[in-house]
Amino acid sequence: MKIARITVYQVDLPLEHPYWLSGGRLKFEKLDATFVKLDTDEGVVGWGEGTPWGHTYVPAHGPGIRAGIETMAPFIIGLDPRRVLDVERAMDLALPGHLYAKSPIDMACWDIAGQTAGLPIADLMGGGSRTPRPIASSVGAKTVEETREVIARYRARGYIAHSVKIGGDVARDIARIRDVEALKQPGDIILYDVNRGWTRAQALSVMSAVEDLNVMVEQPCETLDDIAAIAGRHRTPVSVDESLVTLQDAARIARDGIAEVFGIKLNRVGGLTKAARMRDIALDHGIDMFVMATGGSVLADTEALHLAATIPDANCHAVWACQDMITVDVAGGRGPRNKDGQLHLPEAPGLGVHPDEQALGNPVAVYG
Amino acid sequence: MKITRIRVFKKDLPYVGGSYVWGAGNAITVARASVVVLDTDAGLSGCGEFTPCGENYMVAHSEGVEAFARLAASVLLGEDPRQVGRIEQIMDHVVQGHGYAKAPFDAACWDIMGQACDQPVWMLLGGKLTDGAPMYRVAPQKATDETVAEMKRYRDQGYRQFQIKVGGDWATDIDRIHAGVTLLEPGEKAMADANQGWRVDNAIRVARATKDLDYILEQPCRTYEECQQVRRVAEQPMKLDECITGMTEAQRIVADRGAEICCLKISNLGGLSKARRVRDYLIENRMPVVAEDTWGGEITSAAVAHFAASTPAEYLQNTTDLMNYNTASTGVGGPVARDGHLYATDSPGLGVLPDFDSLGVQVAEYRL
Repeated sequence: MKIARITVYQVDLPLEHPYWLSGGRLKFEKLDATFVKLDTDEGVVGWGEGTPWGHTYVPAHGPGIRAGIETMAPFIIGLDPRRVLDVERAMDLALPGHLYAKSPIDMACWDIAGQTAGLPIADLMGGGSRTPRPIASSVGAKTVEETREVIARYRARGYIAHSVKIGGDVARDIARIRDVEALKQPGDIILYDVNRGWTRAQALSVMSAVEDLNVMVEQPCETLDDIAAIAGRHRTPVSVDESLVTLQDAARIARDGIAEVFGIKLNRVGGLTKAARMRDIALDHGIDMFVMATGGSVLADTEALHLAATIPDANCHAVWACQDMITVDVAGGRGPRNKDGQLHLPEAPGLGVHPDEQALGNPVAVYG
Repeated sequence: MKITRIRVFKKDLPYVGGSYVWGAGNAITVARASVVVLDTDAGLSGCGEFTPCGENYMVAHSEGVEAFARLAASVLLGEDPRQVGRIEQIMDHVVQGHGYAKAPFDAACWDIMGQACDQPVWMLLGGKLTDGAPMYRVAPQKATDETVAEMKRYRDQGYRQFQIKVGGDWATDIDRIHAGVTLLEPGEKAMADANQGWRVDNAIRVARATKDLDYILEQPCRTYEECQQVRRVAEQPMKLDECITGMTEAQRIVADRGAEICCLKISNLGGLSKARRVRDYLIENRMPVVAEDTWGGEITSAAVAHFAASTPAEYLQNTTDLMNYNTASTGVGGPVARDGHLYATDSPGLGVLPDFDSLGVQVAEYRL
């Protein structure tokens, strides 16, 4: 089987509500999504998606994905998409780095491999748990009261996992954490996501002030060096998200004990093939995981869900459903959807959901 | 002063020697230049260029410049290009990372600032600390008598530094290093450049087998950590190149004393503004540097020449006349290579104009 053609679509996915991160430092109104269709000489078709969270969040941007595919396309066409490692190597040789541009191709290859094998991707990767995965909410509120309201709204829809966005103001962060913890219910999974917003000193201030609550904090500071520098000086379990990009990052975090949890975002780390290696490092070192898309449609959510399903239930905290935050549905309601705050692994072979091609407009590029 | 128009040009630059071979099994015959031209309401125009040594040489590809321009153009139009620090901030805010794509914009702003105050860029970077930067030549790999004759020709032209290309089969590389180094005359220097091509164990074998020879071992393996692993055994001075991507890496090298010489490629560091800070930091710490770029025509070479000219001679290892490696041009004017040395121009700005006849029609244009 050979990849015969690569078709690239660009779609703007408007966010239902403008979204702020990191104490208002970053604002997002729409996401620039790239959808990739791989046609094979045997008629099997695979789909991939790459949707960075805006272009200011991490070093990844929509035009960059499409530029990367332009550079890589000649090296991918003609390869057998089921041999995902061959495709990975070809992409890494054609274009060092730029992992975020590779993930949609990798995803489409896994989709084809799964369809050909007659298995959902998670099963093809070695076995997918059917335990539904809790979806983490995104609580981008500001004040104590707003935070309460947003969490209550999510809770009413069945959510037990909440990612509460903090950072920006030490006193307010402490007040919000204390209030959320006071209202916490049994079984709740709560993550305080700083999105790099604290300096080292701010991180230590908040962490020591809430030490009695035993909360978990995600990406407290800008770099791994920052997080490592304060690691021995607080008792708060830490999840690393933005700073986890390469396998070397994962190895360093695991070996040096910089964090207790990985936040694996598939587009950022270069897709399922590379993310699976991070998962194995995590499991080998007693590190738990959140697995999420960087953003995007139900396709991106589903890709993350497949990887999440290959993690033992006890080690996978939650996934995410960005689909709930955007106002365009490219897949007409198909695919894994939010049911009571959970996502269920699709049983269809491959990814388990394809977009409506008409919903994507005209291709912006065709190769092959 | 305001930026009123941004144009991006693409130009294929064929290698003057047919096929340029580097690292393990890589060769280029044509490099793809991306040239950025900024026009202002004051009638001044500036230019910058990014050209990778093949799209897969580093985490940098030519397509990335157009992709970056798509996101950056709207925020750069209307800005004052003389405020290079502000422009740098704006570019870093609109897209994270992707420094190579920002480099030509940064250079074009320095070009305009120089013209606006009627000074060459080397003056704005601190003055002429090297009048005529020494260059190196790649030592030919031919029959001994032919090689001797060719090296004599280079010697007569003023060259005193020779680079031996290695990084392929390690056993052959040992012979190459022997052959090259034994032809040197007193006072001459040799570098064996593996361009990240060796495995650590093989690099160690090469270093051991050649320990009686005086030469500089250059970027033997892919990552900084791998190079350090070689360094624990190798007695040769080490020059690092591809893994120096910014200030963080430079600080790490100084802290670890992880190299004897640092090769600074302007685009790999994100442009002249950032490269200059890294250079100054390294020189503060008495670490010699090479001033160069990945590849390029006259425009890249102009930026390189000003960068080299403003580097203290004592700490400038060498530079490269990149414009003489191509059979096509990106600019008219620019630095002059004479007697084995590269001389920056004394005219205002970069001292090079875009060669519009060669560049052809722009691939993108944005107007205020």
